[in-house]
Amino acid sequence: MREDLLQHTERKIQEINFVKKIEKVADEVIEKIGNPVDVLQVAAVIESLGYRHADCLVEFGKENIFELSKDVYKICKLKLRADKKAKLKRESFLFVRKIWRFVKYYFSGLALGFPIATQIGFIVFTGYSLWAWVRFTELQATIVAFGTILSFLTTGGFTQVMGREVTYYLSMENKKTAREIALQLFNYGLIFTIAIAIVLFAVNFIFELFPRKYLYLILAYYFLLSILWLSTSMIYAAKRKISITVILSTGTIFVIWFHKFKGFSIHFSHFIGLIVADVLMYLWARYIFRLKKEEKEVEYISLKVKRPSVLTYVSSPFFKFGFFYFLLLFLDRIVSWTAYSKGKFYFFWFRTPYELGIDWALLSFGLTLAVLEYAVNDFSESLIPVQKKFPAYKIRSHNLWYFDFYFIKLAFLMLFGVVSIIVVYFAVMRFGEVFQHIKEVREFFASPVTFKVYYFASISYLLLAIGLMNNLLFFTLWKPSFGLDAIRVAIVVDLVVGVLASRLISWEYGVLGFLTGSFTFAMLSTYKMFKFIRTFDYQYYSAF
Amino acid sequence: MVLIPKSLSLNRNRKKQKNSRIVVAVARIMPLKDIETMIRASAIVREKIPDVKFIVYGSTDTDPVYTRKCQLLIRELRLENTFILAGHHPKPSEIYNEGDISALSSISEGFPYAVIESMACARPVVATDVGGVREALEGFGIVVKPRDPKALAEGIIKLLTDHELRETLGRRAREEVLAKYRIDLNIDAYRRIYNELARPKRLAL
Repeated sequence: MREDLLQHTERKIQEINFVKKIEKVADEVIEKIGNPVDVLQVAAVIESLGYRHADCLVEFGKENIFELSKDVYKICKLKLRADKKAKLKRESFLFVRKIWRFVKYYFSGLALGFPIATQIGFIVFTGYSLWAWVRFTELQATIVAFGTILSFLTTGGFTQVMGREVTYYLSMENKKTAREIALQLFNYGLIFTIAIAIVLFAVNFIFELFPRKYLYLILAYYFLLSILWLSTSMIYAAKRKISITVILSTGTIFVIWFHKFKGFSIHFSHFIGLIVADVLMYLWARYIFRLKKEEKEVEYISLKVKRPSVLTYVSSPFFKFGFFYFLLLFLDRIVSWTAYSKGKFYFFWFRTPYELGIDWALLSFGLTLAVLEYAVNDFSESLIPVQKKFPAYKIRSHNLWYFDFYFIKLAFLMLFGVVSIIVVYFAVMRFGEVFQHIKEVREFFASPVTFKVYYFASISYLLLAIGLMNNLLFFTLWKPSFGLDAIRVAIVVDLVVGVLASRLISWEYGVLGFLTGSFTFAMLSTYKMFKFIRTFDYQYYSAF
Repeated sequence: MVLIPKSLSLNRNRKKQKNSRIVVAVARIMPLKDIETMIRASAIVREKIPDVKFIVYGSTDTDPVYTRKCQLLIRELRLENTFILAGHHPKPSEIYNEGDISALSSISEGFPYAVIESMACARPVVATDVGGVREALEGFGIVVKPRDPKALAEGIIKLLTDHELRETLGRRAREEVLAKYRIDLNIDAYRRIYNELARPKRLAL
């Protein structure tokens, strides 16, 4: 009797152990494939997880894998049903969570523009920024604008690749490779900057675009700003945004101090401020990427820096996009400022009312761009859960889900864009009314060109934001070619329309090039997006 | 249905001067290869054979997150001097000749080259019983239960400590490869089948 009881208890304990083990297998199956379709699929998965027929009886109390998979299948279904109930409960909090996510990512996106916002703040309240001054003559502004635009075009590709590569390695917690690639790209960028400077010097020597002394000033601004963008992008990639604002502000304070209180010329003061910012930014980047003792000692690292040839091949679409993006951003200014206008001295001549209109529109662009941070993060986070939600035979529904997702994000972006334009317009107009006693403020609103450019440019920036959102989604799944095709055509349209309008109507109508170019970019990339979403299952599968 | 086994070009798989107490493995660092089990097994082996070394050759880029997990496990078990992730190596013959035996801890396989390449180099294999491993290895190496560090470790200890068994299994493994998995045999088998299929079928009258 007692022996029977003992045997019975032992059997029960063993059964409980078997159930626990089978439940563990079910967890592994769910982790690997999510919701199983049938018992045979479970059997195949169980086998691929390393469980054998031979061990089934001893380990799970089952005759073979197929018997085991029947129980595992049932447990999977029960577990997933329980999960579903809990999910339904959670869904009541979903709306609040969605709003919280939007607020979080939107402000994180706004923070990306904080360094530039601070520079605008400096200009408004002190009249100085790190590379600008409200009392620049048009000649001085021409020198700085030429150097600035050239620096953006030269480094745009490098900063884009830097962002992708360094962020990727850091996300893999591979600081050693992230550091190496960051410094390598900085060096490549620096060499390229010097090469472009030599080319510019040679071109100017032959064609005499600018007098020699102005060229030196242009080259100085160009060189110092290029270094600034390259080192800033290292810090951006490491997500240390606040330090960028602090360093740029420190440089600007140097500019103000040397010009206002020490009597140095504005250009010389700018050079001092820029050198201070360059040195601080580079040293800070080196400090961020420093390797601790134990990190240095790691002999083996997964994912070493790519060979230059491989890096070039893999990164070239991103490099091109970085360059094309800045080209699209500045092409209208290059076109307008090279067209004939009254008082134009050199082949490229800065026009204050035009720049003010663009800068005004840039404010609403900054507010709209922050939505992209939300859209892209939401997209990335949706990929795995959405894929798990759909069985393999419902590929069409899976892809259609992304149509809904995309249209909601697009509508949201457009709504935010329009609201931003209206808010910025009235905010700036109100600012003008309140501070109309200040000469510089009155000058801001003096020219109808400023308003004209603002109207066209604000719409252009909204269209550009749509194109950029499409592109960021392409980039997330490593499909840069979709966006590249669109931006290439957009640049051609921008150039052709801009040149025709600025030469046939009036110089400031170069902004029409920007409008049509951005429109083309938005339309073509949205069209590509439809194609992308229709084949989303493939795009996702082939991304990683 | 006709089964043609995989084959090897054996010219490159000559014996070299061998080191002692080295377990080599050829596997990409990914969950399917269950490197974690091999790492845990190496900790058990080290208790018996303190100077043992496990060297795994294979790309570490396939699944960086898993690679990281393995690295952390190596550090956690203090196996930095015992278990080495050596990255990709282009020449299998050099890899196997570097070790005394080879190991395979996969949880799923077809008919792995890693096993027959090691056999060709007269290096006996301790491998998990998945896919076609048993078919290739039974009688020429040790087949163990998958996902079981203890079983894998016991197999490895047995081969590393029993010199005679190691030599015998290694020799027989090489003979088996020479008899079954030579590339000329493979080519002949394909040629026979193609010829057979290409021959016009005669209809029975």
